[in-house]
Amino acid sequence: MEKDELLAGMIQELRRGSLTLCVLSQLRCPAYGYQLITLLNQNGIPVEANTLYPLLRRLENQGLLQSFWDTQESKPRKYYSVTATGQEIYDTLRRYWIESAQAITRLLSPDPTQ
Amino acid sequence: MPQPTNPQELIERYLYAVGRRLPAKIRKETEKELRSLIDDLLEERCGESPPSESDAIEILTKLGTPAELAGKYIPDPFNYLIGPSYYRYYKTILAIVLASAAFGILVSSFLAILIPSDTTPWYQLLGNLFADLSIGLLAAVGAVTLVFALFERRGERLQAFTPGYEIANLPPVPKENERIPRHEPILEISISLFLLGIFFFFSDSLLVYIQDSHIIPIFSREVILNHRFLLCLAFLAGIPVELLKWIDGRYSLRLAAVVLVSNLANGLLSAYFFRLPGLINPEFQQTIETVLREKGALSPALEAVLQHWNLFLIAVICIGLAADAGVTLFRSLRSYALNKAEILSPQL
Repeated sequence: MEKDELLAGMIQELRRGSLTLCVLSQLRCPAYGYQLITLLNQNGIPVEANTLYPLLRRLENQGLLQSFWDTQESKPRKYYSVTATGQEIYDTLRRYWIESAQAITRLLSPDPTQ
Repeated sequence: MPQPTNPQELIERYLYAVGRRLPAKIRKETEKELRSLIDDLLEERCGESPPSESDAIEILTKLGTPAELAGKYIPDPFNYLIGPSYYRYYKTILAIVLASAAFGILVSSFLAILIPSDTTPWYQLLGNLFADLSIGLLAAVGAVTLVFALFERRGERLQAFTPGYEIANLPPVPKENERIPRHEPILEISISLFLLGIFFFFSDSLLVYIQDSHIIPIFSREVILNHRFLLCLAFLAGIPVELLKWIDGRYSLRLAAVVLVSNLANGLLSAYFFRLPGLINPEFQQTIETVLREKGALSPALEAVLQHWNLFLIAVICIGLAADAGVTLFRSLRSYALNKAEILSPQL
Protein backbone atom coordinates (compact mmCIF):
# COMPACT_ATOMS: atom_id res chain seq x y z
CA MET A 1 0.00 0.00 0.00
CA GLU A 2 2.79 2.34 0.99
CA LYS A 3 4.70 1.48 -2.17
CA ASP A 4 1.60 2.15 -4.28
CA GLU A 5 1.12 5.53 -2.67
CA LEU A 6 4.75 6.38 -3.24
CA LEU A 7 4.47 5.41 -6.88
CA ALA A 8 1.22 7.33 -7.32
CA GLY A 9 2.88 10.42 -5.86
CA MET A 10 5.84 10.08 -8.23
CA ILE A 11 3.61 9.64 -11.26
CA GLN A 12 1.62 12.68 -10.19
CA GLU A 13 4.85 14.69 -9.91
CA LEU A 14 5.86 13.66 -13.42
CA ARG A 15 2.45 14.54 -14.84
CA ARG A 16 2.07 17.83 -13.03
CA GLY A 17 4.92 19.48 -14.84
CA SER A 18 4.03 18.14 -18.25
CA LEU A 19 0.32 18.97 -18.16
CA THR A 20 0.89 22.67 -18.90
CA LEU A 21 2.86 21.72 -22.01
CA CYS A 22 0.08 19.37 -23.15
CA VAL A 23 -2.56 22.04 -22.64
CA LEU A 24 -0.62 24.71 -24.51
CA SER A 25 -0.02 22.27 -27.35
CA GLN A 26 -3.76 21.84 -27.90
CA LEU A 27 -4.82 25.47 -27.77
CA ARG A 28 -3.50 26.94 -30.98
CA CYS A 29 -7.17 26.80 -31.99
CA PRO A 30 -9.71 27.93 -29.37
CA ALA A 31 -11.22 25.15 -27.27
CA TYR A 32 -13.39 25.06 -24.16
CA GLY A 33 -12.47 23.19 -21.01
CA TYR A 34 -14.53 20.07 -21.43
CA GLN A 35 -13.51 19.77 -25.08
CA LEU A 36 -9.87 19.93 -23.98
CA ILE A 37 -10.42 17.20 -21.40
CA THR A 38 -11.84 14.95 -24.11
CA LEU A 39 -9.01 15.81 -26.47
CA LEU A 40 -6.32 15.07 -23.92
CA ASN A 41 -8.04 11.85 -22.81
CA GLN A 42 -8.22 10.66 -26.41
CA ASN A 43 -4.48 11.25 -26.70
CA GLY A 44 -3.66 9.22 -23.61
CA ILE A 45 -3.34 12.12 -21.16
CA PRO A 46 -6.15 11.61 -18.66
CA VAL A 47 -6.90 14.76 -16.73
CA GLU A 48 -9.55 15.62 -14.17
CA ALA A 49 -11.79 18.64 -14.65
CA ASN A 50 -10.92 19.91 -11.20
CA THR A 51 -7.28 20.03 -12.25
CA LEU A 52 -7.70 21.38 -15.76
CA TYR A 53 -10.14 24.23 -15.10
CA PRO A 54 -8.07 25.92 -12.40
CA LEU A 55 -4.97 25.40 -14.56
CA LEU A 56 -6.64 27.15 -17.49
CA ARG A 57 -7.47 30.10 -15.29
CA ARG A 58 -3.95 30.24 -13.93
CA LEU A 59 -2.44 30.20 -17.40
CA GLU A 60 -4.84 32.94 -18.41
CA ASN A 61 -3.79 35.04 -15.43
CA GLN A 62 -0.17 34.50 -16.38
CA GLY A 63 -0.91 35.83 -19.87
CA LEU A 64 -0.23 32.54 -21.66
CA LEU A 65 -3.88 32.02 -22.60
CA GLN A 66 -6.69 34.30 -23.64
CA SER A 67 -10.40 33.55 -23.48
CA PHE A 68 -13.77 34.58 -24.79
CA TRP A 69 -17.33 33.51 -24.11
CA ASP A 70 -19.35 32.00 -26.91
CA THR A 71 -23.02 32.54 -26.18
CA GLN A 72 -24.28 31.59 -29.63
CA GLU A 73 -24.65 27.88 -28.87
CA SER A 74 -27.22 26.17 -26.68
CA LYS A 75 -25.11 26.83 -23.58
CA PRO A 76 -22.49 29.50 -22.99
CA ARG A 77 -18.92 28.22 -23.19
CA LYS A 78 -15.62 29.80 -22.37
CA TYR A 79 -13.06 29.24 -25.10
CA TYR A 80 -9.34 29.44 -24.49
CA SER A 81 -6.48 29.92 -26.94
CA VAL A 82 -2.75 30.55 -26.70
CA THR A 83 -1.51 34.16 -26.71
CA ALA A 84 1.67 35.27 -28.51
CA THR A 85 3.58 35.03 -25.23
CA GLY A 86 2.03 31.64 -24.58
CA GLN A 87 3.14 30.45 -28.00
CA GLU A 88 6.68 31.69 -27.40
CA ILE A 89 6.86 29.92 -24.06
CA TYR A 90 5.31 26.81 -25.53
CA ASP A 91 7.92 26.67 -28.32
CA THR A 92 10.75 26.91 -25.80
CA LEU A 93 9.16 24.37 -23.47
CA ARG A 94 8.58 22.03 -26.38
CA ARG A 95 12.24 22.13 -27.43
CA TYR A 96 13.29 21.58 -23.84
CA TRP A 97 10.88 18.67 -23.48
CA ILE A 98 12.10 16.94 -26.64
CA GLU A 99 15.75 17.28 -25.63
CA SER A 100 15.03 16.06 -22.10
CA ALA A 101 12.92 13.18 -23.38
CA GLN A 102 15.73 12.09 -25.69
CA ALA A 103 18.26 12.29 -22.88
CA ILE A 104 16.01 10.43 -20.46
CA THR A 105 15.26 7.77 -23.05
CA ARG A 106 18.99 7.25 -23.52
CA LEU A 107 19.41 6.93 -19.76
CA LEU A 108 16.54 4.50 -19.51
CA SER A 109 17.66 2.28 -22.34
CA PRO A 110 19.18 -1.04 -21.25
CA ASP A 111 22.58 0.09 -22.50
CA PRO A 112 23.01 3.87 -21.92
CA THR A 113 26.05 4.01 -24.25
CA GLN A 114 23.91 3.14 -27.26
CA MET B 1 -31.00 21.35 6.54
CA PRO B 2 -33.58 20.65 3.80
CA GLN B 3 -32.46 18.00 1.32
CA PRO B 4 -32.38 19.14 -2.32
CA THR B 5 -35.22 17.74 -4.34
CA ASN B 6 -33.72 17.93 -7.81
CA PRO B 7 -30.25 17.76 -9.35
CA GLN B 8 -30.35 21.38 -10.49
CA GLU B 9 -30.93 22.56 -6.93
CA LEU B 10 -28.00 20.41 -5.81
CA ILE B 11 -25.77 21.89 -8.52
CA GLU B 12 -26.75 25.42 -7.56
CA ARG B 13 -25.92 24.69 -3.95
CA TYR B 14 -22.57 23.27 -4.97
CA LEU B 15 -21.74 26.23 -7.18
CA TYR B 16 -22.74 28.64 -4.44
CA ALA B 17 -20.56 26.78 -1.94
CA VAL B 18 -17.60 26.97 -4.33
CA GLY B 19 -18.27 30.58 -5.27
CA ARG B 20 -18.42 31.88 -1.73
CA ARG B 21 -14.89 30.61 -1.19
CA LEU B 22 -13.52 32.44 -4.24
CA PRO B 23 -12.41 36.07 -4.53
CA ALA B 24 -15.29 38.28 -5.68
CA LYS B 25 -13.60 39.22 -8.97
CA ILE B 26 -13.47 35.67 -10.29
CA ARG B 27 -16.58 34.32 -8.57
CA LYS B 28 -19.24 34.91 -11.20
CA GLU B 29 -17.19 33.80 -14.16
CA THR B 30 -15.91 30.68 -12.42
CA GLU B 31 -19.43 29.71 -11.39
CA LYS B 32 -20.60 30.21 -14.97
CA GLU B 33 -17.76 28.13 -16.36
CA LEU B 34 -18.27 25.36 -13.82
CA ARG B 35 -21.99 25.31 -14.56
CA SER B 36 -21.21 24.78 -18.21
CA LEU B 37 -18.75 22.00 -17.30
CA ILE B 38 -21.27 20.24 -15.06
CA ASP B 39 -23.85 20.43 -17.86
CA ASP B 40 -21.36 18.79 -20.22
CA LEU B 41 -20.52 16.08 -17.69
CA LEU B 42 -24.21 15.35 -17.05
CA GLU B 43 -24.92 15.26 -20.76
CA GLU B 44 -22.08 12.81 -21.29
CA ARG B 45 -23.32 10.64 -18.46
CA CYS B 46 -27.06 10.68 -19.08
CA GLY B 47 -27.38 11.44 -22.80
CA GLU B 48 -30.91 12.48 -23.67
CA SER B 49 -32.52 11.23 -20.45
CA PRO B 50 -32.94 13.73 -17.62
CA PRO B 51 -30.23 13.45 -14.95
CA SER B 52 -31.18 12.15 -11.53
CA GLU B 53 -29.99 13.43 -8.20
CA SER B 54 -27.55 10.53 -7.88
CA ASP B 55 -26.03 11.45 -11.26
CA ALA B 56 -25.46 14.96 -10.03
CA ILE B 57 -24.02 13.71 -6.75
CA GLU B 58 -21.60 11.43 -8.55
CA ILE B 59 -20.36 14.17 -10.86
CA LEU B 60 -20.02 16.74 -8.12
CA THR B 61 -18.20 14.23 -5.92
CA LYS B 62 -15.67 13.71 -8.70
CA LEU B 63 -15.08 17.45 -8.82
CA GLY B 64 -14.21 17.39 -5.13
CA THR B 65 -15.66 19.19 -2.14
CA PRO B 66 -16.44 22.88 -2.69
CA ALA B 67 -13.51 23.81 -0.49
CA GLU B 68 -11.10 21.59 -2.43
CA LEU B 69 -12.24 22.89 -5.80
CA ALA B 70 -12.17 26.53 -4.69
CA GLY B 71 -8.73 25.95 -3.18
CA LYS B 72 -7.40 24.91 -6.58
CA TYR B 73 -8.54 28.20 -8.07
CA ILE B 74 -6.68 30.24 -5.54
CA PRO B 75 -3.22 28.80 -5.18
CA ASP B 76 -2.50 30.79 -2.04
CA PRO B 77 1.20 31.52 -1.78
CA PHE B 78 0.65 31.71 1.99
CA ASN B 79 -1.11 28.41 2.20
CA TYR B 80 0.91 27.52 5.24
CA LEU B 81 1.62 29.41 8.38
CA ILE B 82 5.33 28.67 8.25
CA GLY B 83 6.73 27.53 4.92
CA PRO B 84 9.60 25.20 4.09
CA SER B 85 12.19 27.99 3.98
CA TYR B 86 11.62 28.81 7.62
CA TYR B 87 10.40 25.55 9.09
CA ARG B 88 13.86 24.22 9.96
CA TYR B 89 14.72 27.40 11.86
CA TYR B 90 11.27 27.46 13.42
CA LYS B 91 11.69 23.96 14.83
CA THR B 92 15.11 24.73 16.29
CA ILE B 93 14.15 28.08 17.80
CA LEU B 94 10.93 26.61 19.16
CA ALA B 95 12.83 23.76 20.79
CA ILE B 96 15.27 26.21 22.39
CA VAL B 97 12.57 28.56 23.62
CA LEU B 98 10.43 25.71 24.97
CA ALA B 99 13.37 24.12 26.75
CA SER B 100 14.42 27.47 28.19
CA ALA B 101 10.89 28.32 29.28
CA ALA B 102 10.39 24.92 30.89
CA PHE B 103 13.76 25.15 32.61
CA GLY B 104 13.13 28.67 33.89
CA ILE B 105 9.65 27.89 35.18
CA LEU B 106 10.67 24.55 36.73
CA VAL B 107 13.68 25.96 38.57
CA SER B 108 11.87 29.01 39.88
CA SER B 109 8.90 26.85 40.91
CA PHE B 110 11.04 24.33 42.77
CA LEU B 111 12.85 27.12 44.56
CA ALA B 112 9.49 28.51 45.58
CA ILE B 113 8.48 25.09 46.91
CA LEU B 114 11.77 24.65 48.79
CA ILE B 115 11.72 28.06 50.44
CA PRO B 116 9.35 28.09 53.42
CA SER B 117 6.33 30.23 52.90
CA ASP B 118 3.76 31.21 55.47
CA THR B 119 1.12 31.85 52.89
CA THR B 120 1.09 29.17 50.22
CA PRO B 121 0.75 25.43 50.92
CA TRP B 122 2.93 23.04 48.91
CA TYR B 123 0.05 21.52 46.95
CA GLN B 124 -1.01 24.93 45.80
CA LEU B 125 2.53 25.65 44.68
CA LEU B 126 2.51 22.36 42.78
CA GLY B 127 -0.79 23.30 41.18
CA ASN B 128 0.67 26.69 40.32
CA LEU B 129 3.65 24.96 38.76
CA PHE B 130 1.46 22.98 36.35
CA ALA B 131 -0.60 26.04 35.55
CA ASP B 132 2.49 28.18 34.96
CA LEU B 133 4.11 25.47 32.91
CA SER B 134 1.06 25.12 30.67
CA ILE B 135 0.57 28.85 30.25
CA GLY B 136 4.29 29.54 29.85
CA LEU B 137 4.84 26.85 27.22
CA LEU B 138 1.72 27.77 25.30
CA ALA B 139 2.77 31.42 25.32
CA ALA B 140 6.24 30.40 24.10
CA VAL B 141 4.77 28.38 21.21
CA GLY B 142 2.45 31.26 20.38
CA ALA B 143 5.16 33.91 20.43
CA VAL B 144 7.65 31.94 18.32
CA THR B 145 4.95 30.90 15.84
CA LEU B 146 3.76 34.48 15.54
CA VAL B 147 7.25 35.81 14.83
CA PHE B 148 7.88 33.18 12.16
CA ALA B 149 4.42 33.61 10.65
CA LEU B 150 5.17 37.31 10.31
CA PHE B 151 8.47 36.50 8.60
CA GLU B 152 6.57 34.21 6.24
CA ARG B 153 3.91 36.81 5.46
CA ARG B 154 6.36 39.60 4.88
CA GLY B 155 8.41 37.37 2.64
CA GLU B 156 11.58 38.20 4.52
CA ARG B 157 14.51 36.08 3.62
CA LEU B 158 16.01 34.46 6.64
CA GLN B 159 19.28 34.47 4.73
CA ALA B 160 19.18 38.25 4.83
CA PHE B 161 20.30 38.16 8.40
CA THR B 162 22.45 35.10 8.03
CA PRO B 163 26.02 36.11 7.17
CA GLY B 164 27.68 34.35 4.32
CA TYR B 165 24.52 33.63 2.41
CA GLU B 166 26.32 34.80 -0.70
CA ILE B 167 29.32 32.59 -1.28
CA ALA B 168 31.48 35.53 -2.35
CA ASN B 169 30.77 37.23 0.98
CA LEU B 170 31.43 34.31 3.29
CA PRO B 171 32.91 35.60 6.54
CA PRO B 172 36.29 34.32 7.70
CA VAL B 173 36.34 31.33 10.01
CA PRO B 174 36.15 32.77 13.54
CA LYS B 175 39.12 32.18 15.79
CA GLU B 176 38.57 30.39 19.04
CA ASN B 177 38.11 33.57 21.09
CA GLU B 178 35.73 35.08 18.54
CA ARG B 179 33.28 32.22 18.73
CA ILE B 180 30.14 32.22 20.81
CA PRO B 181 29.28 28.70 21.93
CA ARG B 182 25.83 27.51 20.94
CA HIS B 183 24.81 26.88 24.52
CA GLU B 184 25.52 30.46 25.61
CA PRO B 185 22.40 32.13 24.15
CA ILE B 186 20.28 29.19 25.32
CA LEU B 187 21.65 29.54 28.83
CA GLU B 188 21.12 33.29 28.79
CA ILE B 189 17.52 32.96 27.64
CA SER B 190 16.97 30.37 30.37
CA ILE B 191 18.39 32.70 33.03
CA SER B 192 16.23 35.58 31.77
CA LEU B 193 13.17 33.36 31.83
CA PHE B 194 14.11 32.17 35.30
CA LEU B 195 14.34 35.75 36.58
CA LEU B 196 11.16 36.64 34.76
CA GLY B 197 9.45 33.65 36.38
CA ILE B 198 10.60 34.73 39.83
CA PHE B 199 9.31 38.27 39.40
CA PHE B 200 6.09 37.10 37.83
CA PHE B 201 5.02 34.24 39.97
CA PHE B 202 7.04 34.19 43.17
CA SER B 203 7.80 37.79 44.00
CA ASP B 204 6.13 37.39 47.37
CA SER B 205 7.64 34.07 48.35
CA LEU B 206 11.15 34.25 46.95
CA LEU B 207 12.36 37.75 47.46
CA VAL B 208 12.15 37.87 51.21
CA TYR B 209 14.07 38.87 54.22
CA ILE B 210 13.52 36.33 56.97
CA GLN B 211 13.73 37.61 60.49
CA ASP B 212 12.79 35.24 63.29
CA SER B 213 10.72 33.20 60.84
CA HIS B 214 8.91 36.35 59.80
CA ILE B 215 8.82 36.73 56.04
CA ILE B 216 8.85 40.18 54.56
CA PRO B 217 8.62 40.57 50.81
CA ILE B 218 11.15 43.00 49.37
CA PHE B 219 8.85 44.05 46.56
CA SER B 220 5.18 44.77 46.35
CA ARG B 221 3.63 41.91 44.39
CA GLU B 222 0.77 44.13 43.35
CA VAL B 223 3.03 46.73 41.76
CA ILE B 224 5.01 44.01 39.99
CA LEU B 225 1.89 42.38 38.62
CA ASN B 226 0.48 45.71 37.52
CA HIS B 227 3.65 46.36 35.52
CA ARG B 228 4.34 42.88 34.26
CA PHE B 229 4.39 44.17 30.69
CA LEU B 230 7.61 46.05 31.55
CA LEU B 231 9.22 42.81 32.64
CA CYS B 232 8.09 41.15 29.43
CA LEU B 233 9.46 44.05 27.39
CA ALA B 234 12.80 43.77 29.17
CA PHE B 235 12.86 40.06 28.39
CA LEU B 236 11.89 40.62 24.76
CA ALA B 237 14.54 43.33 24.40
CA GLY B 238 17.17 40.69 25.05
CA ILE B 239 15.82 38.16 22.54
CA PRO B 240 17.34 39.72 19.37
CA VAL B 241 20.77 39.58 21.00
CA GLU B 242 20.46 35.91 21.86
CA LEU B 243 18.98 35.13 18.46
CA LEU B 244 21.87 36.83 16.71
CA LYS B 245 24.39 35.08 18.94
CA TRP B 246 22.78 31.78 18.10
CA ILE B 247 22.57 32.44 14.35
CA ASP B 248 26.02 34.04 13.87
CA GLY B 249 27.87 32.19 16.60
CA ARG B 250 30.55 34.90 16.63
CA TYR B 251 31.33 38.40 17.78
CA SER B 252 30.75 41.03 15.14
CA LEU B 253 30.05 44.73 14.95
CA ARG B 254 26.41 44.10 14.27
CA LEU B 255 26.16 41.98 17.39
CA ALA B 256 27.80 44.81 19.32
CA ALA B 257 25.28 47.28 17.87
CA VAL B 258 22.33 45.05 18.81
CA VAL B 259 23.74 44.51 22.31
CA LEU B 260 24.18 48.26 22.79
CA VAL B 261 20.60 49.00 21.73
CA SER B 262 19.19 46.10 23.75
CA ASN B 263 21.14 46.97 26.90
CA LEU B 264 20.20 50.63 26.58
CA ALA B 265 16.55 49.65 26.34
CA ASN B 266 16.94 47.33 29.31
CA GLY B 267 18.69 50.03 31.34
CA LEU B 268 15.90 52.52 30.66
CA LEU B 269 13.23 49.93 31.47
CA SER B 270 15.01 49.00 34.71
CA ALA B 271 15.35 52.65 35.69
CA TYR B 272 11.64 53.14 35.13
CA PHE B 273 10.60 49.89 36.79
CA PHE B 274 12.65 50.20 39.96
CA ARG B 275 11.51 53.79 40.49
CA LEU B 276 7.85 52.82 40.44
CA PRO B 277 6.16 54.25 43.54
CA GLY B 278 5.49 51.55 46.12
CA LEU B 279 7.61 48.88 44.42
CA ILE B 280 9.93 48.46 47.41
CA ASN B 281 8.05 47.25 50.43
CA PRO B 282 8.49 49.98 53.13
CA GLU B 283 8.30 47.32 55.86
CA PHE B 284 11.34 45.63 54.40
CA GLN B 285 13.35 48.86 54.47
CA GLN B 286 12.32 49.67 58.03
CA THR B 287 12.99 46.15 59.33
CA ILE B 288 16.42 45.84 57.84
CA GLU B 289 17.33 49.34 59.05
CA THR B 290 16.18 48.50 62.60
CA VAL B 291 18.07 45.22 62.63
CA LEU B 292 21.28 46.82 61.42
CA ARG B 293 20.91 49.71 63.85
CA GLU B 294 20.41 47.30 66.76
CA LYS B 295 23.55 45.46 65.76
CA GLY B 296 25.39 48.75 65.39
CA ALA B 297 26.23 47.93 61.82
CA LEU B 298 24.41 50.81 60.18
CA SER B 299 27.08 53.00 58.68
CA PRO B 300 26.06 56.26 56.97
CA ALA B 301 26.90 54.72 53.59
CA LEU B 302 24.71 51.68 54.26
CA GLU B 303 21.92 53.93 55.50
CA ALA B 304 22.09 55.90 52.26
CA VAL B 305 21.89 52.66 50.28
CA LEU B 306 18.87 51.49 52.28
CA GLN B 307 17.09 54.81 51.85
CA HIS B 308 17.66 54.74 48.13
CA TRP B 309 17.37 50.99 47.71
CA ASN B 310 15.80 51.33 44.28
CA LEU B 311 18.54 53.63 42.99
CA PHE B 312 21.11 51.17 44.27
CA LEU B 313 19.43 48.36 42.32
CA ILE B 314 19.27 50.52 39.19
CA ALA B 315 22.97 51.34 39.54
CA VAL B 316 23.90 47.67 39.91
CA ILE B 317 21.83 46.69 36.87
CA CYS B 318 23.18 49.54 34.74
CA ILE B 319 26.77 48.74 35.68
CA GLY B 320 26.11 45.11 34.71
CA LEU B 321 24.56 46.10 31.40
CA ALA B 322 27.35 48.56 30.63
CA ALA B 323 29.98 45.93 31.45
CA ASP B 324 28.23 43.43 29.20
CA ALA B 325 28.01 45.95 26.35
CA GLY B 326 31.64 46.96 26.92
CA VAL B 327 32.90 43.38 26.79
CA THR B 328 30.85 42.63 23.66
CA LEU B 329 32.07 45.81 21.98
CA PHE B 330 35.67 45.07 22.89
CA ARG B 331 35.50 41.51 21.57
CA SER B 332 33.69 42.64 18.43
CA LEU B 333 36.23 45.39 17.69
CA ARG B 334 39.09 43.00 18.32
CA SER B 335 37.49 40.51 15.97
CA TYR B 336 36.96 43.25 13.38
CA ALA B 337 40.51 44.44 13.66
CA LEU B 338 41.85 40.92 13.32
CA ASN B 339 39.71 40.17 10.31
CA LYS B 340 39.58 43.22 8.09
CA ALA B 341 37.95 41.11 5.46
CA GLU B 342 35.04 40.20 7.67
CA ILE B 343 31.81 40.99 5.94
CA LEU B 344 29.59 43.20 8.01
CA SER B 345 25.90 42.95 7.61
CA PRO B 346 24.43 45.70 5.48
CA GLN B 347 21.31 45.57 7.61
CA LEU B 348 22.90 47.12 10.66
